[in-house]
Amino acid sequence: MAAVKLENVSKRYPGSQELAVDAFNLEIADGEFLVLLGPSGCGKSTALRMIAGLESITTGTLYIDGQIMNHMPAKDRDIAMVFQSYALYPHMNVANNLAFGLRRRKVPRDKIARRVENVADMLGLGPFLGRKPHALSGGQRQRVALGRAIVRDPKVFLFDEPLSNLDAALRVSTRNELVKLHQRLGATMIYVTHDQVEAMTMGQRICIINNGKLVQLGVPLQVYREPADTFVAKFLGNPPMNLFNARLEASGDGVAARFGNRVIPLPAMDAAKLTAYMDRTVIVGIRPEDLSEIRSQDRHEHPNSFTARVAAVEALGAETLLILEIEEVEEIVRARFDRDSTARLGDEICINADVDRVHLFDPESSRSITCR
Amino acid sequence: MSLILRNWKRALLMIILSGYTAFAAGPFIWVSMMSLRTTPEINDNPYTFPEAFHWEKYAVAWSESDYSVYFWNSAMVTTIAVLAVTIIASMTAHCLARYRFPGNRLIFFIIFSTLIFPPQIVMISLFQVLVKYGLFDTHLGLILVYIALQMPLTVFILEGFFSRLPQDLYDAAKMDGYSNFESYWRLTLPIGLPAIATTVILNFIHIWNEFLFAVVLIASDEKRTLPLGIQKFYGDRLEDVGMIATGVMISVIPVILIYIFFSEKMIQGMTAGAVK
Repeated sequence: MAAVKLENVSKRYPGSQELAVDAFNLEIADGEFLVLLGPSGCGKSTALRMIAGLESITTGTLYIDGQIMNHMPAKDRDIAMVFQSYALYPHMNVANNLAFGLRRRKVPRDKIARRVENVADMLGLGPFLGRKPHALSGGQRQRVALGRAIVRDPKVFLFDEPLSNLDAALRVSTRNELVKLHQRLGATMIYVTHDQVEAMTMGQRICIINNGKLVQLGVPLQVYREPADTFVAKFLGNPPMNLFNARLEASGDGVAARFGNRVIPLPAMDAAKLTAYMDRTVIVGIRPEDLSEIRSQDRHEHPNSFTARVAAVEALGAETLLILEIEEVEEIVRARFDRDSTARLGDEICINADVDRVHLFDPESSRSITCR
Repeated sequence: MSLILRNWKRALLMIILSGYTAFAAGPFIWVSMMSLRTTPEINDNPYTFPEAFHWEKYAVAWSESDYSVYFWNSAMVTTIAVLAVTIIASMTAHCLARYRFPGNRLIFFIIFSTLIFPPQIVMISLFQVLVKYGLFDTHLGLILVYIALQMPLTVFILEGFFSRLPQDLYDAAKMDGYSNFESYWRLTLPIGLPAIATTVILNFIHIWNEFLFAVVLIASDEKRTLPLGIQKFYGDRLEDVGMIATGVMISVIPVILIYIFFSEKMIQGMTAGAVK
């Protein structure tokens, strides 16, 4: 087990003007499960490969356990990696796949056999030790790939989207197995994914990456509740956060957002910290679950309610997702209602916004200016 | 209705395949039959099965001519050349397929472009080079020429196969502590065996049957390879068609054995990637 630290780490591929990874500063504590989350091509896998030693570091310093690792060969970093494609050696059976790394490290034969047996027991691979990878199911292959990492007992585990080739049901169960495995081994794990559900459910902290830049780092719920910018706000959450342009105005002691003719007070916001944005256009964000359906006769009790026309209904069983059109805003609005919602396509319904959960963003930098 | 149509289609396919098989295998079977018959028998009726199998003709052809010398010359030249081509070309293909370095594609293009030239155009220059370095009329000279001639196609076939092997495998091996050479030895060679078997068969057949360079670059009788030996055999026994057929059959046997030995892997190599 070990702590991993990236200090201003950047990567530029030969012939490219853009930085694939732009000045990452990141500390991963000993025994932590950190998830690198971002869309395809954002640089998260490149960052992982630099930690692994499979890509060179253009600038910056990588430390593992306080030791500089920039020029240390991959094999000497004592890191194991699980690949998206599993990367099992097709000409070797499961037992040899598990033992391959140990043999190179000159571990005695009897010790190799014992460790392979232990890992096979731990992952339920005992009956498949003699089989070659092509004779295994996707889930079994995934477990062999995992076993190959565990059997080496490395300082750090790296996972490069290891669940993306599994079907939905297997992905959920393997996700739980990985979390349990982390609890059991207590090892430092760095996990790359573009799947926000994996990130939210597995990571002790998540690190959101966009265009090679580290955008936000924090515990999952904190990142979800306090997104650092509009990218995080839209990337995390399904459906994504609704974002609208609105004018920020003073309203008594507090602030309010003006959408066309409607002025919605934002009592939770600290007006003193928002003076720079007064009478300017800002981006207002609200999550779909912070919108609720109200009966039209109760409308007078909800001064922040809007009339909306239902443009699409997605009844998912456990919940109902709606796409709404509201006169006061240009953008479509996504709402998440409970499963008992009776809204139908073309209906006019009343919706209420939980103004205490509204987010504000700077329209130029896209950074959050929410201050409660 | 569809069953009848399907049967008709199958019958048509069988007729076409049978016709092609007869066309391709007919001459070979005819020569193999002649190899077991005497020349007077053949003169009586060229197109028939042997009444008696004259296996002793093989022993006669082997012992009464210099067939054994030519055979072993061919076996040595072909084995060494095929082995060397396989090792050098597979290493080259591994590097070209696996590593990013400046000039990678340029080197591949240069190797590939030599395929379009007919080998005969280098004959005179090769002859001069071999004479200058004392390699003319030596097996080593002939082996070096065969290696050079077979290299481009072998690299081309192997590079195509190796470049389809997933990079993750090599990254995993690197993390497991294996060097570049060990990756080649422990991953590329065993996984690439179907493609390698394909090139071994193609190179073996080509070099075993090669005549043009052998006739130009080998002068001494005792250094001749089998194709030259067969030509001499023709000259010596111009009237003895039966014995010529026996000599030809002896020269074909190693090719058949190599094919049987590697054919399963070769078919895997040819169809790799065709199905998931």
